[in-house]
Amino acid sequence: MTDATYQAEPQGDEYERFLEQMGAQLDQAASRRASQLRRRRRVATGGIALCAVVAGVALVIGGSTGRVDVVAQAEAALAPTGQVLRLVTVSQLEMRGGTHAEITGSEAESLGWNKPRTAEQWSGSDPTRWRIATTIPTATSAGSVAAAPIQCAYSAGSEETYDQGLQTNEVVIVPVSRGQDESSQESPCTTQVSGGLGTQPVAHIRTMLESGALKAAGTATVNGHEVLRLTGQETRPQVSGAGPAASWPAEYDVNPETYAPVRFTVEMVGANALGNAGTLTEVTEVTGYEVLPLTEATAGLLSLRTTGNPVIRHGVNQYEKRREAEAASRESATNSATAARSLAQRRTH
Amino acid sequence: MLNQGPDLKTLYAEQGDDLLRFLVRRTGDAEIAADLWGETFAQALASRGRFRGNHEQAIAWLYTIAHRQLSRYYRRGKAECRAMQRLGMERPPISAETEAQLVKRAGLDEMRSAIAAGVAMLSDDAREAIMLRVVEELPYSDLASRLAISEQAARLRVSRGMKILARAVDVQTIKEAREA
Repeated sequence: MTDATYQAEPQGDEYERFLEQMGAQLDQAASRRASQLRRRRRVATGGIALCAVVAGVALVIGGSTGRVDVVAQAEAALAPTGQVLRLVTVSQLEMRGGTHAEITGSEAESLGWNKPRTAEQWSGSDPTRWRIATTIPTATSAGSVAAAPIQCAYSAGSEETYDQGLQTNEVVIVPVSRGQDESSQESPCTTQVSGGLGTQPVAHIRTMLESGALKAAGTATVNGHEVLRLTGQETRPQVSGAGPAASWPAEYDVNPETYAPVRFTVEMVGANALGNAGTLTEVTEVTGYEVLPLTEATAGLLSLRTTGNPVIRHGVNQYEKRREAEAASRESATNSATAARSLAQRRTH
Repeated sequence: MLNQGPDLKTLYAEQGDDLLRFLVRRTGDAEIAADLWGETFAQALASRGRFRGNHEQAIAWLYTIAHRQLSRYYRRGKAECRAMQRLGMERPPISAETEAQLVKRAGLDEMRSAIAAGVAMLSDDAREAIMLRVVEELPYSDLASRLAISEQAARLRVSRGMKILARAVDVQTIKEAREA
């Protein structure tokens, strides 16, 4: 807090000085915190973020350090200010415990459920921004299904979707409502471009760590390599319609030396799998993970890349729409109950 | 610096003084209030990345943190300074003159006088009941047996006394009178 910007109300000199001193303390603390983050970034390797998560989990379990400190460390590492996190993933759905590992049926085939999906995402924090680029199965004008590119991006309270598979060249902007975390599974983009992990897997791990939902579960072998495994339960609101929150077992595997994310597995217990037996499970292999310095060039990675001059259209937030529908439904039920009571009373009299 | 998340610089400039006086009125102690105040801003600084909202919501968020600090203080009897320590912050010492100005600005003397006047207005029975309940923190069962009345009557006596005190200690009235 500098003298140039802090204007105290006119009052006693001593008291004013006291307020200014505290303001200076606050300003210095903010500067130190920013410097610490910058230093950490300079020495950061791609895996340093999850290193803090794992260290945090160990500390939480060990109980030797206050939980607040652990969360603060993990938070700082997982939401690196002034950096751009790049993640490349390949996701594959499978039926665990079912008669077939693949999802059978013509619908599954037409929806491309059994095909691995590659996604590349870039994210930054303070302020939160991200972009995901992937492909989704889209019906062509000839009636067939082809993988079409789609991008989603978030910044300043709005999500933008650029669906290049559609015959229109337009960007749809949807506001993300208050109380709806931009990294949550409720974000409008999630159902289109992201599966069990949501739009920001690393931020999601941080959230789980904060809530104490992750635990260290020893080591495992993935693709012939040893990994550290963190396990927990993901709790999330139902994406389609009202209902109780889903609780899905999740595994997060990280490299034991660099702590870079290796694989995420989410068992979507109770999810509709087109009538297939077993538990719909999404296994996401991380094929690329790097932390880039925030520059003009890398900041551009956080925004939609469009071609031509797309039309900008403002869409409806489905989350809000659903909440409104639920509220209307409740009101209707209350009105019906009131009417029924009135009728019953009239009959009694 | 402070320009990420809620604008703490503006928040501090606008709300720092008000928040400190708010805490002084609720603790009756400038030192404790200043500790809670410093911790509130330290926690705001540490967690500002998680905050989403506009300026008005940021003020409400800041006061929510302050209320949480107050609750902890009431429960534990001491002010915590963990966030300040973690961030390497040191709350400036309060000189006698600063304390006197703070007490004056918070209307603490007026409030104390109002409480004294309110207590004087109470009947002997109500005053004794409130002293036992509020000052000595006796549970209602003990208070009832000490006063040789039923527990329900003890609750009623304390409740009536507190209402009289609340009317006497109208902080807003004091503030307006002081500023008039």
